[in-house]
Amino acid sequence: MTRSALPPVTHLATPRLTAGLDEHGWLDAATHRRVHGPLRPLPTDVLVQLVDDIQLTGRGGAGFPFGRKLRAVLESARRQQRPPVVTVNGSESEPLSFKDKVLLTRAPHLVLDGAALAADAIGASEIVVAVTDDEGAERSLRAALAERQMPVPTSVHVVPHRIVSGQSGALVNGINGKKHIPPATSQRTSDAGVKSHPTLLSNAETYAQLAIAARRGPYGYTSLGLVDEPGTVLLTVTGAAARPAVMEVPTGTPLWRVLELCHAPADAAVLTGGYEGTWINPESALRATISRAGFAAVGGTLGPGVIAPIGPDTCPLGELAQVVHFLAAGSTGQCGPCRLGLPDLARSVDLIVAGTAPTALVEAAVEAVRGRGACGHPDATARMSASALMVFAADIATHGARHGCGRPVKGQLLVPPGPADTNARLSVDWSRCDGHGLCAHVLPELVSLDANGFPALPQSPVPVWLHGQARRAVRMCPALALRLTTEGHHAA
Amino acid sequence: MRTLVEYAAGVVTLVLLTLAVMVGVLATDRTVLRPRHRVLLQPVHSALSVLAVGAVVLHVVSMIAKGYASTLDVLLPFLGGRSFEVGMGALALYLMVSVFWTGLIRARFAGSGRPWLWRVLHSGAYAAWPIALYHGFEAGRAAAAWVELSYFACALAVVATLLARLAGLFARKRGARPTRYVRLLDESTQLRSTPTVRPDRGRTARTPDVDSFDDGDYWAQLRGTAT
Repeated sequence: MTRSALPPVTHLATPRLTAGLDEHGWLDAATHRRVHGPLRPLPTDVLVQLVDDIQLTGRGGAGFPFGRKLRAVLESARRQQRPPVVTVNGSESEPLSFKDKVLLTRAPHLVLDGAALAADAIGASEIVVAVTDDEGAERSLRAALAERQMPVPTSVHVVPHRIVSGQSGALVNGINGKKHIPPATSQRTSDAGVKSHPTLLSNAETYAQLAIAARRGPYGYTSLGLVDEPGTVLLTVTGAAARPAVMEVPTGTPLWRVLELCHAPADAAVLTGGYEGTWINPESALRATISRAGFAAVGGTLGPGVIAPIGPDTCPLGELAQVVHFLAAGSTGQCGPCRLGLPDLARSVDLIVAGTAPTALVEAAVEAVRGRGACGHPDATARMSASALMVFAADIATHGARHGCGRPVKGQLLVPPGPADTNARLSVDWSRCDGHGLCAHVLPELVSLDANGFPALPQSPVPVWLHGQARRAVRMCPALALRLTTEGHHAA
Repeated sequence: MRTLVEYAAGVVTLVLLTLAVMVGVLATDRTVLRPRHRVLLQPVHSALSVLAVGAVVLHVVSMIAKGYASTLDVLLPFLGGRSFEVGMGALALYLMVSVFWTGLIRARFAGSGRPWLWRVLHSGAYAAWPIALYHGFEAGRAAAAWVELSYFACALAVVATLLARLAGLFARKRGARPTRYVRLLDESTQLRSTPTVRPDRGRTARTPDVDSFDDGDYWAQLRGTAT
């Protein structure tokens, strides 16, 4: 991703992380020093105290207190007598979020400052910065590393752009040379992470916040924002906003101000926290304030700071279906509830869109995946879908009564088109199909039979992990009626 | 080893081909078999076919090596100067290999506009098999009576299954399969004619006898709103 493909950066109140970005495209070492000032390394106890004073939490979505993480790594390193590793998670796998990409692509020195501070303070042996394979961040980081001194050897690791590859366990797996998938049995990265060393793993913005706090000190840092969650937050405002942006705001800012500044449609339902977040209705969006607690109070999730309003001119259920299908296709297929449950969920949402099934079907599908699987992916998908059922209850009723709402699906939630092979779709030649039902037996994940024994196929792409099965179903079709096509081309 | 191949490859081919044809025609059945059986039978059919083609290649190579046939006999059936039976064997070989090839490229026909073409080509199996049987009986060693009878029984079974399949096909074409709607109608008429699940009786049994209550107005009113 080149710099111009990133959303523009704005800020409310004094910019901190985004300082200098309205003037400069890329902050080189000299500009960075001029904008942010010099930085001195901090002793261990001072850094721990600072992190506690500013109540720094992980900015990747989970909001885990950074101080507890720091202590766990220090304790683990002392017990194991091995130096820890500092890992910066810049993979930002949430498709709607751009704030880490913006930071890494335009202000890499700030993130590296934070990582260097942490590495110095905990006596780390190395720093690993993980970024996605879209070039911009990687190039910027390598250029920044070339013009500065790091306290310990620092490497850049490129991870594939998948929804689950940003999960900490998956990231550590990838850095260790294994597949980028979440580990089946969870192990604390603070005990054994990169190369089995105790690992301090946090999100890129977290390290940037640390670099800001080290310069301003606890009093200077907490001068902005709420008492409980001081400082600023990076938001990605997207969806139907006419002026999408990465925006730095102090915590406690009303959400409506952010929406207004980005020219979001009035009375919009908002997807908060991204695809793995939750929906809030327009009334809640008016009441919410920007902070983890402020969003939680109205049933939202701040998560990685994604604010995605959708307009009144698009079919919200159709938008939801696109997201659920994307999340279902993002499953690595290693856990049954996720591999089978998410396509079920996506299919049930399809039926809601078609107005042929009650919400109870989606609720059942949600219950089947809630809290199950090796990582949080199925659970988050379930939570997002469940919140949509509540926020869009009126739309669901309309769809049920009229088999649709008459609005087009505009794709305002920017569901990314998958790589070429994920666009494979199953289709059936209805004049040939004779309802043998073999496809439903070979491919129960995607094909269900109607009451007359004819297959019902999803309009969504066939997930990558089902391609083999899909080809088998095509081979097995006794009527030669089933086919697998990729973007209009014949695939099997 | 070589003698074993010379001795057995032909027979093994015939047996495998017979099984492949039978499993193939059986896998199309939908009156007795459920989808899961048919899904299991398809790979069995493919495996038997691969083995049959492998065996026939061994058989041909070993026969040429032994001098019972020449390469020319294989390339030009009936023109190489051997007996009619050997020519039929070569013909069966060609049919077998082409049917095998249509099996390999079957998925391609799912996209094309001509599935019937695939059916016609793959039906070559019904020609290859009897020709191979004829070749086996006439060109090879004299077979025992029970062997001949078994092949005959297999042939009868295949013809019967094939007829059943065709009959079923025509029946479906005429729309003889009951739709879900028809089945629902059936079920509801069954419900009505079965005394045990008659809904009316249960309700009358639980409803209190209206006239035995003193508060006649109240119950009359209730009865009025209920009906």
